[in-house]
Amino acid sequence: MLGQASRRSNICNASARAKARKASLIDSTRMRQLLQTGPESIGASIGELGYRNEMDIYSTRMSGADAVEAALFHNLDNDLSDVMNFCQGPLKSIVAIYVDRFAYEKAKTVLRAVNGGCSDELIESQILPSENPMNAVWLDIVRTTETLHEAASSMAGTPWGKELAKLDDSDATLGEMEDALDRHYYNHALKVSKGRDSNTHLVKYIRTEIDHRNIINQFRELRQNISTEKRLQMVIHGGRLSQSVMTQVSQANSTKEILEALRRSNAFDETGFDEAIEKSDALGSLDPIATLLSHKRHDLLRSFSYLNPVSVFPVIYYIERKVLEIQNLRLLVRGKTIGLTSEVLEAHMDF
Amino acid sequence: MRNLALDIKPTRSELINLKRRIKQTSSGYNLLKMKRDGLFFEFRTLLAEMIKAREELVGTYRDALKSIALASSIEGGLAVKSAAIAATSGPEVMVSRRNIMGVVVPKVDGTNLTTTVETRPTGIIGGSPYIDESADAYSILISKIVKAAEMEATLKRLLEEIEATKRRVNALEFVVIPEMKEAQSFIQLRLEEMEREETFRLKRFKNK
Repeated sequence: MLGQASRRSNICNASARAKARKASLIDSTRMRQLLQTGPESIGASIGELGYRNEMDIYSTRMSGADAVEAALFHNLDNDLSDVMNFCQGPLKSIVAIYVDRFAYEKAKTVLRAVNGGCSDELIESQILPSENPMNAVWLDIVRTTETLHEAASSMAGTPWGKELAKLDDSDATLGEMEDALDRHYYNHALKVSKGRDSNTHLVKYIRTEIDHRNIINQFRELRQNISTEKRLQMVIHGGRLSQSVMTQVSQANSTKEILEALRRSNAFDETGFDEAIEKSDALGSLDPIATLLSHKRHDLLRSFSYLNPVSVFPVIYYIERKVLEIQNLRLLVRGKTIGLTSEVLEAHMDF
Repeated sequence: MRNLALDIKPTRSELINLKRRIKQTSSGYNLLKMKRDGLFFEFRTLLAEMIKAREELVGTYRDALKSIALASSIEGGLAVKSAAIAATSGPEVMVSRRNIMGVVVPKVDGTNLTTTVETRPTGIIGGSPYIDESADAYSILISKIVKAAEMEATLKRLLEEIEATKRRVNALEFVVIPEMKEAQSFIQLRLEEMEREETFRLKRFKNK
């Protein structure tokens, strides 16, 4: 997954393979049928859709939604590993942006486990299941390190190792390390996407992701009454929204003021925001805004994949569609188990 | 009823003592009645607050369940657990004492009951609004549980004290004070009788 790039990209071959894989993903019709399935039979239905092997691995030890979620992510790790294996050259580095984000999340989980003094058994059994061979390296760090800084040092060989090493003093907290990891992810993604085999649409997509992350963070920080200075510090650089717009956004004192500040940028697509903010204020939750941003990103990626059929986009689009499939299935399983209505589930799914 | 003739000496000094005791007992009875009424007032005030707090607690609990359901469904159970394991310290509760009208009741204070995005150990940039909302909802729930626990324990203690005070008031009103007044009447009657006897004896002696 973090492999070295050879000299030439195999874009045509990789695009074709990605498109073939995408054809085997669950289509929107089948997903809508699953939405109507009861909680008792949804696990069996998911097993029939290509997840049987992984579900059999976890069914001996876990049950219910936990088992299904562990199986889904095990399947995802295997799939992403296959994708990385069939990509070569600079294409591999670009695809790694989308594959490695899960590695960043696992790195954060490991740092949290060590920082919180969590037992190895809990991590192995519930969060990074030992049945998944991709988790072995992470579990090893959890088992062999005692402090946050030891855990950070153990990640020296990773793309973010140097970033964590810069923080390797006695005062760096878990929060600072996690923020550093997130900044590194986006900076690295932009850098790689602008390198060889770069694609302007890919750069635009990553910059849009950065903007969306900044926007939702500003809304979160406003709700939590975080100071203006801190809100400005938390802005990730590199998005399409300019620094001056983000400065104004971080000074806004209400959701409507944030929206007014964002409207000053030509790069901001305001469609649907008025309604989302109204719903968000009424519910007292950022769910409508987060859902809107998620749908916008998926629509953008879908449009790019059609515009660039022989490029890195079909591979990235396949990865994102696979991740979306996993997220939709997880949402269905957990949501139905907990008792969320079909309307709520459908509103949060992307087809 | 006690055999007053056997227990009480019908003398003037005894009558004076008894009158003093009746006065003291009546004064104590009035004070206990005031205490009973005061405690009952405090109880009713706190009961109204407690009923409201319980209703809010149930509502807050439902909101917290809903928020964690959404967080688990959208971000995943693994992400929620990953955020949970980051915590290095949990809420702490201290119980001390305070006084309401002479009744010792518990005072419950907590530290670290509520957390915010800034005080939580995880990073801000990569955080999830669903997990934030879930953590906030449970923070509020914990605070309300602590408050409700203090109120319930206080109510229980007040109720016990009201019952004990009521029993004492009733005992004084229906047993002790009536018995003392009866004894007072007995002594007064006996003293008058003795006085009449003495007067008659002197008259007879004079006439002889």
